[in-house]
Amino acid sequence: MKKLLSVAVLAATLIAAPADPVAWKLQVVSAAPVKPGVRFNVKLLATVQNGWHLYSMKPMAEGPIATRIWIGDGQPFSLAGGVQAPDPQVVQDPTLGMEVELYEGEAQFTLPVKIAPGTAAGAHALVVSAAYQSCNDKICLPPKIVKVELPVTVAK
Amino acid sequence: MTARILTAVSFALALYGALAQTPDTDKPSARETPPDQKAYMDVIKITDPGKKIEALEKFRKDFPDSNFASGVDSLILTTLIQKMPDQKPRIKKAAQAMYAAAVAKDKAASKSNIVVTMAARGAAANRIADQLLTGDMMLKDAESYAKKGVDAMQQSIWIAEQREAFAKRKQPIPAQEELVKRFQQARAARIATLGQVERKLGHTAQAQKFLEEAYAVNPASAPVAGALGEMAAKAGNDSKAMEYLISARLTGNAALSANQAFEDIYKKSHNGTTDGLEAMLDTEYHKRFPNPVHVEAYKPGAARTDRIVLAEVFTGSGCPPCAGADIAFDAAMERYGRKDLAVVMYHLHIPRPDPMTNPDTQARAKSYSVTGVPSFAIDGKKTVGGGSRDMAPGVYDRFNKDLEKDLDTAAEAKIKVDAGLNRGSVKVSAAVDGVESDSKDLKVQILLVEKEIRHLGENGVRFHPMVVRAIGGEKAGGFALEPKGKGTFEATFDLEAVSKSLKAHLDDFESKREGFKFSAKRDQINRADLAVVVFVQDDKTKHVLQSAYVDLSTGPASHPTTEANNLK
Repeated sequence: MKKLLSVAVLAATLIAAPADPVAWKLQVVSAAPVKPGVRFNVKLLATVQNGWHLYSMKPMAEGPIATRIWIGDGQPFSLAGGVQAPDPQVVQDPTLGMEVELYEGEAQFTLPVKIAPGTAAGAHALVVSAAYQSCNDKICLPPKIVKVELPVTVAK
Repeated sequence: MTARILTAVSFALALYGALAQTPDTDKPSARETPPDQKAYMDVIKITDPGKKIEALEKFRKDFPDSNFASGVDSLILTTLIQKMPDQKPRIKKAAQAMYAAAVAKDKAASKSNIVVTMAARGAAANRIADQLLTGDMMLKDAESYAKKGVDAMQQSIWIAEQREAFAKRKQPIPAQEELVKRFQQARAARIATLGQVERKLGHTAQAQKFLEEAYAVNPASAPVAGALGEMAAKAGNDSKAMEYLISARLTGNAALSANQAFEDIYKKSHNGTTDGLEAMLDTEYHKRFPNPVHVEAYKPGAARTDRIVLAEVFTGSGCPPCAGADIAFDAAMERYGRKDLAVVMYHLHIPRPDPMTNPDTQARAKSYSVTGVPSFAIDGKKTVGGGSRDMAPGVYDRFNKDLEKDLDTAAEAKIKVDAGLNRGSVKVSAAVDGVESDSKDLKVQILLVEKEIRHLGENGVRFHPMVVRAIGGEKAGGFALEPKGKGTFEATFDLEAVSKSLKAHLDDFESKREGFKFSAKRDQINRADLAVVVFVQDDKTKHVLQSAYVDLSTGPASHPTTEANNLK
């Protein structure tokens, strides 16, 4: 009986945590040859599960943590300009008593990227980081950072 | 954590593509921050208004395509209104520029939209009116913009745009009834702005009409309830004023003038003092927000054992869906005595800052691999998810079955606790014996809890029971217990030190979040309202073998730590 109970307890503790409600995907936009020193665009597509939302990139002191997107150090790629975000939905948050900006469904961000001069020809990994926070009507998730990779071949 | 999803993506020339998404804990360094974001963050830190406006204009020129540029007009207007209120012509011009930009945006959007949109101009007009209202200036202009904001809200167009937006985002389109409801809520916010402007202009009848219309749709709006309350107070109708002003006060977001009006009326009937005011609000809170979970006192059956069930709840006062879980556990504490059920609440800064969070509750969340709030565990059986206040009965039903079952399950250890408060310290001695588990991961946890903290969080919950203030052991990790072992475990909580640690954590949090200040820091410990919870747990599976609860209450008086120390 005790063993049965232990098994049941263990099974119960393994109840799945909520799946990540935002899927991130990187795509290249430009069809032009990419050489060191050249600028090209990549698109970061956030697909937000139904019922969830992603906050916009505008910082709000009193509100939830804004979404941040960047290209980290230690790679031959860097941002050549600001990240372009789609217009967010502006929604009155009754619990905050203020307007918040958010995305539902799909949101596509455009990142201008440049390749450092002198980068060797061949395959390199472009790694884009995104920090975000999300809630639905049943649970709020802590801030999270994901890295999304896109292998890029640099031309001679 | 290391799982990767790789999907081949083809592209034209020298590039090939693939996708990989991995969670990470690194934070962006200043050097990694996108240039427009860095520039924008630098600009909003400027305190000199003239320099700030200059920098904002430069930002717009340097980064015309940045998505932060869309907020520049609004920030310039806010800065002018708040810091340079004498410069009326400049304010007027900034408002006109902001509105003109929104009209241009609508025109551009209308070319590809199925309807001629007025969304941007409506939102901009309402924002301008709201800012002028906040600055209490140029109220005729504010009225004009507020009317534009309302006029832009046409139900058929708004719903058509919403449908199009949902389709574009590849989301299911809500039913017509739901869309109408959302339209009414969105319009009520615009009507509320117009009503408040009319009130400031002295157009009482119009203000009353608009504000009551907004209140009917959203009675939880603090500005609307506050304005109606102040108007009733001015008209000499104290009882009606109190109804509205209590509503406003209980949101925690009431304007200073509304709170002042409330206190003035209260004093009239209480010999000129505010004595008993919070107690009255407590009563009103319970009256207006009755617990939707209806319970009866627990009557143990023949199978009841000596087990004290432990409920561990991870929550946040700024977390809307935590309200349903908090309220469900309030009901559980009403049904079961503390000899049947011990409850501990670990507060966390999710999604917004919570002044009852501390490093020990965060360590506990990490130990439990908490992935969101609310999460709760009955004797270690973890589950996640709550909901709004009215969803509390469903949450209660989810955990109560486990709870009832555990009450009839024999304890797997014996705990005898001696605990007391003496000279500013809580000393706990827990003798553990009769452990049946041969796990190598057993731990004895000793928690100091405050039995109730009154704090009106953003989720509307006013009372927070069994708030964990400190956890014994190295890094709040408890005390190791040998397999089938026994022993006496001791913890001492110096209340002054605990209080200082709570404050240090909150101060540190503020310093790291630009522009944020807690409305109240709950670092004071009420020495008269403490309890200790001890339990034996398998740290790996989180299964709880037995728990104990010791009430240290000394009476109804409140003695915040610092006050008590000052009395020494």
